[in-house]
Amino acid sequence: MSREQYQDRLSELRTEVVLLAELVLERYEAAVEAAEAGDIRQADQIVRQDDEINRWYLELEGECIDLIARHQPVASDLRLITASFKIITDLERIGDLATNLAGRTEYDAGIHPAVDIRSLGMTAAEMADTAVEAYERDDADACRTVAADDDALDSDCEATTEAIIRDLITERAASDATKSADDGVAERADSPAAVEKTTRGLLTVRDIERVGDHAVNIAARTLYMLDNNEALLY
Amino acid sequence: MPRNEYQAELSDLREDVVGMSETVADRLAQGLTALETGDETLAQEVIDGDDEINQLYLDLEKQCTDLIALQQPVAGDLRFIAASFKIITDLERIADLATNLGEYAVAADEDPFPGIDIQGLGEITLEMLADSMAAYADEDRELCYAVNDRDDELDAECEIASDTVVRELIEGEKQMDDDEIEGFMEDVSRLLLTVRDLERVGDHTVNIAARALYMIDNNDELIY
Repeated sequence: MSREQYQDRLSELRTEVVLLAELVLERYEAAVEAAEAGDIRQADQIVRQDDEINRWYLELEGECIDLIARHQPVASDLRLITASFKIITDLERIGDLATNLAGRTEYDAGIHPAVDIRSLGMTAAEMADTAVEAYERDDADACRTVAADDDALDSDCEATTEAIIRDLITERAASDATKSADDGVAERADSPAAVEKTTRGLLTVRDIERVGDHAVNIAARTLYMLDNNEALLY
Repeated sequence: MPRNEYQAELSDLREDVVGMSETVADRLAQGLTALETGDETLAQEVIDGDDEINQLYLDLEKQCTDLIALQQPVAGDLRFIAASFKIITDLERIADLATNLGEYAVAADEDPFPGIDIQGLGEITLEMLADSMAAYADEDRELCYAVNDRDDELDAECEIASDTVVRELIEGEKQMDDDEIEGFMEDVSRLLLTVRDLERVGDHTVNIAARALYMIDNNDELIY
């Protein structure tokens, strides 16, 4: 294969990784919307489409290895290929998290009143989007932005988790008060439905926080590819 | 490079990846012990040791790409190297989670729910890690499936643990003022994060097992 064809394959690889990212993020955003709206039909569709992402992921992985084996790339070419190899793993995991969110969607009901799923979910999506753009356009500054945004997302997620727990404590206090007033006949907030709602809220926050972590991984790999700088890598 | 030197490099890679997993398993065990005993010195050792793992990880990554580029391996050898390349990422992430445990141990005041068996969950993750690495090192396909099945058990145990926390929060009788509630919520959040992190360790061991199976049989059924 000529030098030119090799360069074509490298830029083709980058394009394909970006296309996979676009598909994954589209699915993830649709999952956030489905979970918010309680749209079961859309959620089912997302779950069914995960296989397509998985296939594509393994194909791209094969392409990365084939490129290394045939062309013994060095320096920045090698870093582009290894970055791509690692980034597609993160994209595949974001696809899995979209499937998780979709699987937790309840008919006609939101996730939990304390969880602003749109705000948290879309913040994570934007971070992933910025990280992929940084990879596409060799933008080192954007990589650092993603890392900084993740600190904000983590603290929003932590605040939401605490709000879910606080909700439980408040509900308990309220039901205790009712109970003593009614001489013990009132129901406490300990129905299976209350536990399920809380768990669903906690798991949703956890999954969104993980999407943010994967966005940071993508940004970190991109920065390593650009500057041989491992500052964000761990 | 002569053929037998290439074979020696492949088996070096295998040994080095297994060696990395042993260091990571030690860190995870130390993180768990620090949580149990509240030993802040041990916790700090786990946190400080993360740099060493990260360096190990980058060195191994280079070993993998050098082997692929210089030897142009095919078929089984290539799948072995690609598996090693992916597995070290999971090991590095498990070490990060061990570091989290160290941080929780430093921050913890008291265990809000002594009934939650964190050590038992940790034990399961350590066994899954050892089994997934044995599956890789010994090319044991049965063990790959066993790790995958064990993860269902771990997930169920983690779910029970989280549900128990939630239920006890609802049912608890203890009256608290606002300051007590703040401290209590931090303890509860930390406990839930600990359960979540252990569940993630399990997920990474499944990734390792899935990669091992793909390497052994070119079988991708556990990969996703």
